[in-house]
This record gives sequence, C-alpha cells and structure tokens, in this order.
Amino acid sequence: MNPLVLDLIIKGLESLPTLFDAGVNIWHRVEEIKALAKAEKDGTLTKADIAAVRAKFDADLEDFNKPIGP
Amino acid sequence: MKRILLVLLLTLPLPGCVTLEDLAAGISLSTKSIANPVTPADEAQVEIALGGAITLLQAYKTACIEGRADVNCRANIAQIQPYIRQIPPLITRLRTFVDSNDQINAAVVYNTLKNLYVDVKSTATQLGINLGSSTL
Repeated sequence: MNPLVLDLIIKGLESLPTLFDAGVNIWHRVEEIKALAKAEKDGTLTKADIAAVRAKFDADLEDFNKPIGP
Repeated sequence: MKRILLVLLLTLPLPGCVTLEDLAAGISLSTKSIANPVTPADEAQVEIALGGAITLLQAYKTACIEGRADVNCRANIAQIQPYIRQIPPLITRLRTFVDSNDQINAAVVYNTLKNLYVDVKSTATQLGINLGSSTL
C-alpha cells in the first residue's frame, strides 16, 4: 500500500481509542475496514461497496458542517 | 498490505495493548520499498479512518446542542467547522484522481488532507476536544 495512504489511515485511526474511551462502538468501523480489505483481497470488491463508504463519509461531513445555530 | 491490515485489525479492539506508534513503526518497516498505486479500496479505508475523527466531533456537537457540553462549545465548533468544510472538495478531487489512476495528483491531495487533519487535531486540542492522543 502507498505510504501516503497508510499515513492518512493511521492518522484517522488514532481517534479510535478516544472513541472507545468515549463509549462509542468502534466495532462497526473496524468491521468496515476488514470487509473492504477482504473483498479487495478476494477480488470481490464492487463499485457499490466503495460508493457506500463514500456516501457514509459524505453524510457525516455534511452533518457536522451544518451550522449549529444560536 | 494484507499483513499490515491484519495487524491493525487484530490490535484495534485492544487499544491499550499496542500503541499506534508501534503499529506505525511496523508499517513503515513493511512498506519502505513499496510504491503501490492508490486504489479505490485504499481511499475508502482512509475515509472510514478519518470518519472516526468526524464521529467524535459530531458527538461533541450533539452534546453541545443538547446542553451537555462545555459553555464554549458553540464557539469551539464554529472554530473547527472551517477546517472540516475544506474536506469535502478535497475528498471529491481525491476520488476523481484515484478513480482515474492519477497517482501524482492523488498524492498531492493526500498530503493536503494529512496537513488539514493535523490542523484540525491541533485546533481541537487547543479547544479541549480530544481527537486522539498519539502523535505520528
């Protein structure tokens, strides 16, 4: 894997222990990464799988970026 | 790559046992001489990983709206949002470059995202919001 990609993944994953400490269930996130890796390894990864991950990230970003209001 | 992911996946549920610094050291050793292209699956994993930080910020925002966060939370969120609002267009560009196998431009956007993440984390830390404690 490209070291740049790994660096970004690591930087993102460093939030997981904090999520864990905050009581957020990180299992689903780990399972998502695992499923992607397995599908890529098996050659079964579809465009729909990628699209689903992208859509979830877009929705999370959009949610946080909404104005918080007064 | 599979070995690297296996190590990550086996250690993530037990964050107290292996530090991310340990993981980074192992990954660095494993990939020093590899120059693989960025695949859509790689990019999707980046999005899942960065999504963790967004989840934390969203939890803070929700707590703020519900009156369960600190008194400065609205101002804090207003300071962080300009950084997070830079991410969607970068992600869109990254996806385009990855899908078209434009590795050079993908690398440029990756670096921009990395720097942006560092800025977000630094700002959040200054405001008392913990987005993760490890430094890589």
